[in-house]
Amino acid sequence: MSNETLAVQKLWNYCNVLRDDGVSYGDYVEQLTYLLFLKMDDEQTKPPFSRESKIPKNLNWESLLKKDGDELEVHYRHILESLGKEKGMIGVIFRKAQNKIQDPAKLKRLVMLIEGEETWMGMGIDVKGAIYEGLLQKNAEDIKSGAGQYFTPRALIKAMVEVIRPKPGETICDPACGTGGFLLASYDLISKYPLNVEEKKFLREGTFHGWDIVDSVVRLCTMNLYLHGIGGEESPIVTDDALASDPGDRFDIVLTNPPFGKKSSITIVNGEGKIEKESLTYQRNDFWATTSNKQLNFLQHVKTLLKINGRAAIVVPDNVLFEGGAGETLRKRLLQQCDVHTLLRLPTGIFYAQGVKANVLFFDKRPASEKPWTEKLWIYDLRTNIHFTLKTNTLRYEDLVDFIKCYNPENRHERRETERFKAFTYGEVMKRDKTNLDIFWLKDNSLGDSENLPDPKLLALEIAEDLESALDEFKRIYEELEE
Amino acid sequence: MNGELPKGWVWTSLENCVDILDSQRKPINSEERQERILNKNESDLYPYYGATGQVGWIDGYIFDEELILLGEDGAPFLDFTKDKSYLIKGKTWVNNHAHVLRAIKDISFNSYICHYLNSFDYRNYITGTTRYKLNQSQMRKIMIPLPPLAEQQRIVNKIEELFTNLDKGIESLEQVKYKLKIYRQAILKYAMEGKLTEKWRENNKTFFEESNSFDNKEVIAFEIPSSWRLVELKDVSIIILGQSPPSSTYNEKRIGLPFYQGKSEFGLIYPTPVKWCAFPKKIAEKGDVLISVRAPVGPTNICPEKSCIGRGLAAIRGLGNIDNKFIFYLLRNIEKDISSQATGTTFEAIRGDVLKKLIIPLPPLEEQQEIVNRIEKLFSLADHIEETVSSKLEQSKTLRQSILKKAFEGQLVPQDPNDEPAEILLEKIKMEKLNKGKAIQEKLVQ
Repeated sequence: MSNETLAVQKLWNYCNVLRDDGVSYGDYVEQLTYLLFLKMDDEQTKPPFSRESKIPKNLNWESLLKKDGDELEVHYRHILESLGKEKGMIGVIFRKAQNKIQDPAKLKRLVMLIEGEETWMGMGIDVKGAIYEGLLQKNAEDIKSGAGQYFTPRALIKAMVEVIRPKPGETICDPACGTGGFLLASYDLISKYPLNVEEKKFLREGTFHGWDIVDSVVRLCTMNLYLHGIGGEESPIVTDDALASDPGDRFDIVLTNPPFGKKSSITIVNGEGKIEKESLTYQRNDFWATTSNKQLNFLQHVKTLLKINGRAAIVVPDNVLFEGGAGETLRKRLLQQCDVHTLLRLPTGIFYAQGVKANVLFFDKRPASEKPWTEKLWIYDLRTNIHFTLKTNTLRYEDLVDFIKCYNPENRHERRETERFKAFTYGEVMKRDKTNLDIFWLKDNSLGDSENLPDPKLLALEIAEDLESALDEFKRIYEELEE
Repeated sequence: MNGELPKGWVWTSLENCVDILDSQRKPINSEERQERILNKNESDLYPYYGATGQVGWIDGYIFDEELILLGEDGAPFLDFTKDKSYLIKGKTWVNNHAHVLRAIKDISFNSYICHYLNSFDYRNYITGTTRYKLNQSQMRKIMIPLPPLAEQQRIVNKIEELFTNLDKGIESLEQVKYKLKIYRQAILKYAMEGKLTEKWRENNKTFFEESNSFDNKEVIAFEIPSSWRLVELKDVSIIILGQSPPSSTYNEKRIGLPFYQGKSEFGLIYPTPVKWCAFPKKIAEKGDVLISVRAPVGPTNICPEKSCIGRGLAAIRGLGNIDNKFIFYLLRNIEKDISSQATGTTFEAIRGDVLKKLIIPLPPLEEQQEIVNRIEKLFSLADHIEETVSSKLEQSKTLRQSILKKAFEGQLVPQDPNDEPAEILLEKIKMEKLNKGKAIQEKLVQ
């Protein structure tokens, strides 16, 4: 078991302490993040980090440690309330924070459990994000309602950032940032450059922008950035439905994995606490097609967010590649007006959502032109005859090394075809029915002949996946018809 | 044909919405086409279309635009799950089995009309008894519900979005069906290599009895568990080669024993008799494995009751320590190998001694039974999935039609009161016709 999974398991076990007390999983996770944050803030003031804390001394972790009983409960409540009124990132992190753990004894136990743990800060760059998202995932599993946010495998994030190659001075955004995986991986990469004072300042305060629709996720993302020393006076992360409008800002780089969740399951709680069904279509002048397909809308939104010659890498499900109607319009326009140069077909079994078939689409925005900007679309097939599972055979960075090599990030205009990597000209792609980009050429071994029968276990898995993706399509149709 | 329509929609006839280009079609018979395409470059050839799709190639073209083709005769007019209309693009040639239509600009779209024509009920419009025909005058009268132009586009977009989902779903289900077939083969192969009972063997040590000391045959192709043996089929079973009795003894009145002649009577596991024999020569007992030994060689079944077998079959009956069902699955697994050992010029057959000397892997009896149980359990699960998938595939055809129905009732996409009502479109049609008429008259006057 990896460090994260161990940590997640440990934290999850704490939950049992509170379950009897009527604290729901969601509330529990929330309280946990507050306490963990205070603890980590405390740690980062000590060597080797020795950073300054933005939390006033009388409200920090140590102030909490000294208290007991009712006094502890009162003080904790006071901490949450006061920090929620702070300016900047701390304020975002503790906005509307309330204590849900009424029993002081249980609160004390939780505090001591966290205090007793080895240093959280010592954990890898994004381990805490993984821990939190691991908790969210467990939470989602437990309430069986699918939170609509799916953890992007860290290996994939790393590979995407590596080929996109963010440089010092560039701005980077993720309109569905979750806990900030793409932003932190980019931060990591840029930090490796020799940076002058100004560049360092820009990296901290001007580089990153993110949106997420879920308040608690924004909180965690902000915590994550804060603990990396990112962010100025204001939080670079906004709680909002990114699709609702064009923010006006343009970026050098967009890296994102928009939610795959079914739109009907997402509801928005508005300012007055009323639950509103998310409006299903977005009317935006900067969009090429009006559709209720969330992924198609995110793709259009990403196109808008890019500066001219800006670079994007976006995770999209297969339906973005083949769906007719608005999807076809969108694909045609995108190929015409952007340089859609690379498509990575991802393997199955790497996301928490079952049966998800996804891809990463890489494209550069270009100035207006009569001539289509896409010359060649290079497709890397990491799916055919490749099998991953979340538990026993997880996607590793090494599995993506060949893709990175083929992509040739140093000069992507010099590429060579391999068995898994093929180029398709603009003409070839446009000729396809509905400009369908759902292209495969490798022989699928599971459709083997009697000489080379695959392992029946593998076949059973594939059949289950096929059934799941069939299920997905029919559910989609159902939802479309239901509107 | 004038059901309730949403506001802004209007009923009109097909001839008001399309140009009919039937007069430009030209049928060319297949010999002539063959001649014309001979020795020509592929790039100089154009698709040649008929009632339901492309039927060949030709070295020229009549049309060069997107058009709607609607079957004139020979289209599946009464099968509601099948398309009668389709779109063509680019340089094309069309024969006289399909009407050639083009939506009038600003009134409708090719794709809207094409989808509608695929959901239309042609029962009262076609003529002919065996080969149905939709003649032009009938076609002109087809009534179309015409929404505002913008809404037509929205409807088409939605239909195509849903249909691509549907196609993908169907594709996945077809994949499942196909993979289930391979899955069964893979299970058999695994079973006969001992892999299916690997764990079971660890917990259940079984051996052959002393009295069963088979000679282990040296064969390289097989890799078997150490507790198994490689034996010849004749060492572990009795093989009865069938022999056909005189045809005067056959009957269909169920006199005597069921009489099986070959693969033609085979089912999935058990054969179904069509003839009986009053004086059987060779007899298979209940539970014997029946194997087809003449054209084709290799398929197997299990004998459901005491029966007579003809020369196309052999019966295999396991001796003391052998489970017949195990032999059955074992032979299924190597059906191809058996078939490849067949000889003969007029039709393939396998000789009795080849069958007898067939080398097979053999586990102890208890493990044979365990293997049979596991295979049957896994197969029954696969059968269950396959049945469900097949029936859902059928349903999905209906789903396609019901989506179209909903679309043309105005229930698939919301109406927009700001859209220009279709009635105004119709006015345009009238004006256009009037203008055309005038133009022609003026020409005549000149």
